[in-house]
Amino acid sequence: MKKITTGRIALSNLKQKPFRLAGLILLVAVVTFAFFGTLLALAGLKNGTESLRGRMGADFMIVPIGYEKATWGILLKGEPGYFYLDKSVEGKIRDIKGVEKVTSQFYMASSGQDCCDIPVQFIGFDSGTDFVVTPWIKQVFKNPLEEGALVVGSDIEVPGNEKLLFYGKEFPVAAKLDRTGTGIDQSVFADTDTIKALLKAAKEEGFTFTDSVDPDISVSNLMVKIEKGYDAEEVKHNIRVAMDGLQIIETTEMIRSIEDNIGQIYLFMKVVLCILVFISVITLTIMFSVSANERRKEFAIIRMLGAKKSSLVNILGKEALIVSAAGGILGVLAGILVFIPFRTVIGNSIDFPYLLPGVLQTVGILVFSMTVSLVLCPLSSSVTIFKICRGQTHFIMREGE
Amino acid sequence: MDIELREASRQFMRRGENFFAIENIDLQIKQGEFLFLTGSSGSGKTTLLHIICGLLYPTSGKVFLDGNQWEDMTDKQASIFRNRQIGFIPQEESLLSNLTVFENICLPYTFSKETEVDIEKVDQTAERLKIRQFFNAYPKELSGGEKRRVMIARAVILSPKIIIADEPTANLDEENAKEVMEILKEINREGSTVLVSTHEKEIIFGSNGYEMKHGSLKKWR
Repeated sequence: MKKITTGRIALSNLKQKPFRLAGLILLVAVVTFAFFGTLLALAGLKNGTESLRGRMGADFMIVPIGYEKATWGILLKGEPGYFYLDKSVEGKIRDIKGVEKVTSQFYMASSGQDCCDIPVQFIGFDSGTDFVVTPWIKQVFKNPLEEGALVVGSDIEVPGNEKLLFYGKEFPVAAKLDRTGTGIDQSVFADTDTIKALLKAAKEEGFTFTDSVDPDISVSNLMVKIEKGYDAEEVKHNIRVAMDGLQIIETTEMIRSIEDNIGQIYLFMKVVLCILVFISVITLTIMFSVSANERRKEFAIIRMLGAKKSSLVNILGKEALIVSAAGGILGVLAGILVFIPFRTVIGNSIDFPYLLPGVLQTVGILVFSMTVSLVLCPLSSSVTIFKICRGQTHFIMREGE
Repeated sequence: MDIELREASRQFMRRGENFFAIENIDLQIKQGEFLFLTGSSGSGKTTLLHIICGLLYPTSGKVFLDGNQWEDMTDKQASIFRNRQIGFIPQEESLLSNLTVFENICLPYTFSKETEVDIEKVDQTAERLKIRQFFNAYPKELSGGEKRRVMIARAVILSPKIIIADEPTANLDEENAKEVMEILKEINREGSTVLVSTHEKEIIFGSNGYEMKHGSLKKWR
């Protein structure tokens, strides 16, 4: 016959007040859920920024003046858009002192569903000069791209035949890029010849927007790499002196600006989290204290039966741990059910690059959130445990006489 | 187990003034004795019993249990000593309401590291106290007399050397009170020292004991 364990006593104590137990568990669950969600969001923002930094192979982006916001709409959020500048600018930029490499990209947004499988942002690149897109493609597709082949972002759904229909013509999908948490995930990449084929197909289908665009004479942006030893400001100045009407976006500056904004969000979220944990600890401390006060006589009885102070710590500690574990599991489960399936919606609703953590990182966050929840109740009940252990059995037994 | 108190006093503060709940008590109880402690409410009986059990320390004087002093023991030693050597039946209902009768009886085993639950003994004790049929019941389902018997079963389950009962017949009808006293006398006959406090003079007829008055002790037989 087994003894009644302190765990059994703790569990039966908790079961006595089911509503209070539910309240305690719910409170821990809410904190764990908030912790899990916040950490997941913070990691997602950090990963997104890192991913964007990794994808920025150029030091500058040059776009027509006034189109900086539209550029970030395309690159960060996948908002379809297009704008053009004269292709001759590319050659002029190449000749500027301090410029090591220049390549151009061509933006085109597909029309509605009557023409295409899906409305997407096309980003055309010049395979002869490109140093930005090609390295990403190389990570997932080692061979040279066939004529007419597309490379799609991770959010683009590709049918079983691995072909996408645009303007009545099917284009083979050579590869799907890894997820980046940016607008790249919702974009389709193609070299200039494929872009021309797309435009031709659109023209044949009767789309008139093709009349005003020609990749041979227009580009959307220029990606510039600075020669080693040159200062970014100096090269920017050289470009401005040589040409008007261009908006020069320094990518590192842009990432820094994103990081600064994210930093503010980080701080805000951390403060909110600290306040939440503080309020929970106070609330749990009060609830444990009220509960333990009601049961002072019970503790006196078990002391009278020969329970050591450590046995009281054991019983109360286990009660706290049971509440913590139940709340923690509930909070994490709710977090998984909310944050994982809706990750894309969440990512799209944030104006920053957002790349949900991988399995390992998610498990790490999960374990950390569980640890926090497991610490929450024992920490909150520690004052009560100390007070109960200090109480003299005689006085407690005689209370109310 | 011999119990000895030497000039034991316990002071309390009441409305800002010191008063003696017990004062200069000298008491010797030999192993196997059955003693009554009588006195009106507030005379200091419970304080004296709690001091013997080590639930309260005297402000002056000494308490010896087979030569051991509570003050010299650590919390762990005192708890083990109380668990193994003393069976205390408090005045008020003291069963854990969330545990069954069986679990309440077995509770002292939980705090006794060396002893495993002796199911045969639990059965025999419950049978003897006529509470075997309530094993799966919860305290709230029992009458006052039945609860008292469960408390007695819990106090004797580890066969302690001393049984201390604080007003064990309080709030019991005559028949139940008689039965409880019979059980305690039977336990005493088996070798345990039994000390019973009561203010009901009718149950002490013809027995040895002490009377407490204003914190002082007087042997009445």
